[in-house]
Amino acid sequence: MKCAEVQHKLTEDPSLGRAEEVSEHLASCSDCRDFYRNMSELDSLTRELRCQLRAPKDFHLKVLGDFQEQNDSGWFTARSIMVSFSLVALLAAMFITWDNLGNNGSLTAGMFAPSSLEAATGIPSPGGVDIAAGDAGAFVEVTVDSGDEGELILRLPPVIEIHRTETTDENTHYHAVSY
Amino acid sequence: MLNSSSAAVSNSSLEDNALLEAYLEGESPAFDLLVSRYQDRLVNYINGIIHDYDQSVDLTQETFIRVLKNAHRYQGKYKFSTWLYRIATNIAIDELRGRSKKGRFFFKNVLDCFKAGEERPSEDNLLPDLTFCPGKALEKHEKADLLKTAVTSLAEIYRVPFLLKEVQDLSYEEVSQILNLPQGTVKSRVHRAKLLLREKLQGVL
Repeated sequence: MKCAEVQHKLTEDPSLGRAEEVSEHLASCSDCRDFYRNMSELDSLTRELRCQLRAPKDFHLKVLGDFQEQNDSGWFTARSIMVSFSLVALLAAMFITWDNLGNNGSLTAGMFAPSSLEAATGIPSPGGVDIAAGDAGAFVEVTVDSGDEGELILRLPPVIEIHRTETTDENTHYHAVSY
Repeated sequence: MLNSSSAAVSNSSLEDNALLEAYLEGESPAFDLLVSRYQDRLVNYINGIIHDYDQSVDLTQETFIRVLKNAHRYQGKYKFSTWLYRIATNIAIDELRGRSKKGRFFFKNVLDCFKAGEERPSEDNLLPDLTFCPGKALEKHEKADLLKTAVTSLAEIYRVPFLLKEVQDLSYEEVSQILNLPQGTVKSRVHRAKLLLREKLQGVL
């Protein structure tokens, strides 16, 4: 047998060094004897590694405890999502019901009528504008403080799309384009 | 087949698959037995890959929790131990790759062998040559520690097959199933790992 062949066998399984064919070669080859000794010791040390470390005491209890905890926490998250979703659905239902009662079935007033023009447009209103729901809910009363002329009350449809127009002289004009 | 009494579960001769089945039928002690059966082996195996005992314990725990979560999906195509080792391997390798991304350097213990002023290996040859360590006669457990360190320094593609085949004492067939590699590839990697270890442990063996 050649050295390469012997060493290949010994790498795969050092116990093959006791096989007749291999041991004959080893008897006459010091390199392969060294190789055999190294591989045998490597094999023996490797066995030492098998049980070198141990898991901590009560490890199995911790595994099941943590698993239970993760399960509970998963259930809590799912339950939280379900409760939140139910709450939103409930509030939406209450809102629509209230709006139907106040607006003769028109859903748009409650959903879109702003409590103040300022809030709706994000534009400051120096004159002071307040919006209040009309008696029948079919229109919205807007009270505008016009300075010298006192208060003006405007009755507007519940949905107003307001656009702001910037002009070169820095005056700001509001105009309703649809309702 | 297992009957569902706790007395049956306490029988340690039960096959892994039967224990898993018992657990799925509501016998929690069956899983305790499975954990007890494999916990030390897995801690050793994962520690061989990541070289950090505390984290090995955490990852072993994560392995078992993943088994619990997916127990109903286990179809028995492979042995339970093969499935378990495959999960553990994935978790440990993910950890290892995560470390590489974070740039954590964990060959500290290996490099401790080098004394100040001694020549260090180049960056592209981080496998330590333990002949740099003092050549005094070593106790067997000291040699085993050096072997462990040398194993940790092997590239992942050699380290993992070596640990599974030689340290965990699994068959080539099991290792190839765990790593999803052909048996021939596993054999050649284990072979190469041994030659590299012999080289690294010159002066120790």
